[in-house]
Amino acid sequence: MLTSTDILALALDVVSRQNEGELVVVLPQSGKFFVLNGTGAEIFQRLDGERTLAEIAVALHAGYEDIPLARVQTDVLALAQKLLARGAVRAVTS
Amino acid sequence: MSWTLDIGGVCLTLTGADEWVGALAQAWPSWAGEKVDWEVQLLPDAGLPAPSQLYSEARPHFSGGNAFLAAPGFVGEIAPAQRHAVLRAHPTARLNDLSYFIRTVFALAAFEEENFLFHAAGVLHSESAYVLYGNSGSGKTTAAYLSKGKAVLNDDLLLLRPTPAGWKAWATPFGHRRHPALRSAPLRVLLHLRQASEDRLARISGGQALGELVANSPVINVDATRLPTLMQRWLLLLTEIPNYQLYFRRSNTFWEVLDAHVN
Repeated sequence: MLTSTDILALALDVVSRQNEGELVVVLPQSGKFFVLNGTGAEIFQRLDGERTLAEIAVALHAGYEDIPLARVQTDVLALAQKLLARGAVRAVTS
Repeated sequence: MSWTLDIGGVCLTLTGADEWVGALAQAWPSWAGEKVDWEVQLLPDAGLPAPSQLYSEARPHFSGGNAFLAAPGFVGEIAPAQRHAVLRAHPTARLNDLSYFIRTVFALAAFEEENFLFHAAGVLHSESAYVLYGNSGSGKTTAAYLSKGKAVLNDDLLLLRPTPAGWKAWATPFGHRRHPALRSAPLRVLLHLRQASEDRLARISGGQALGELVANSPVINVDATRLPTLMQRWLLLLTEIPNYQLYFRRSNTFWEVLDAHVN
């Protein structure tokens, strides 16, 4: 289970591409894909192997100040968990 | 023995065991070509273990720009830069196994010439190709079968290629066909299939469309090196060719919906 102190990076061979406001993420290991909406894409693209999930939530919150930080943190953690389960990201450290 | 397979101008010259090359030439007589481009060697190797599974269950993996396709009884390597491929296979390998390797080579050869090998059924309607695509089980074969009276370029794999006159869909020998004399037609529309209780055409979001097209681009979609180019090419194609979600029930009535909405 991930926590807000975890740091994630994109999987080495994952390929992504923006189209019409959505981000398509393809996993070459399987040829499968998933689509992220604008917010999901913002989170995905911040998983740089340097920032913790908490830091990413704070940075994201700056653009969505009408949404409580706690809610943003929950969303970041939930998406990170899904991305990890799909093999799109890898844990760098915790 | 040597024999050349020509699909829409993408040519693979098969060499190797007379028995295998001869059987493939006999299976695909109307696909004989002359242009020597890619060479595909098919070599029996009794030193390999007897096949214990279908070769088609093997998935290609890529390293150093080459593709490798291995399974018990089969060792295949494809070198796109050299336009060369070699399959060593146990002598009991079947024609379907050899065909699977050739299909994999063809996907790469087509891509190198800026074409797509695409998991799709191509049905001719109003002298244009309506391309129905989706994963296994989505209904490509069913939809093609239900399209009574219409020519089917292929019900599983098509070659899509740009021409000065626009995109064309080409038949391939890798699947079932109807009216085999017909080889190609202008590409009219891409239709992502989903079986449903009603016939309906719907918009497909940009991200979903690109993802589905990539997912149905065999071989290339598991190569991280070629994937960015594949995605870019699909996006370019989408600027010229409409793409919809087609919900269809197991009936040929979906053509009425297409006639009403796809001019």
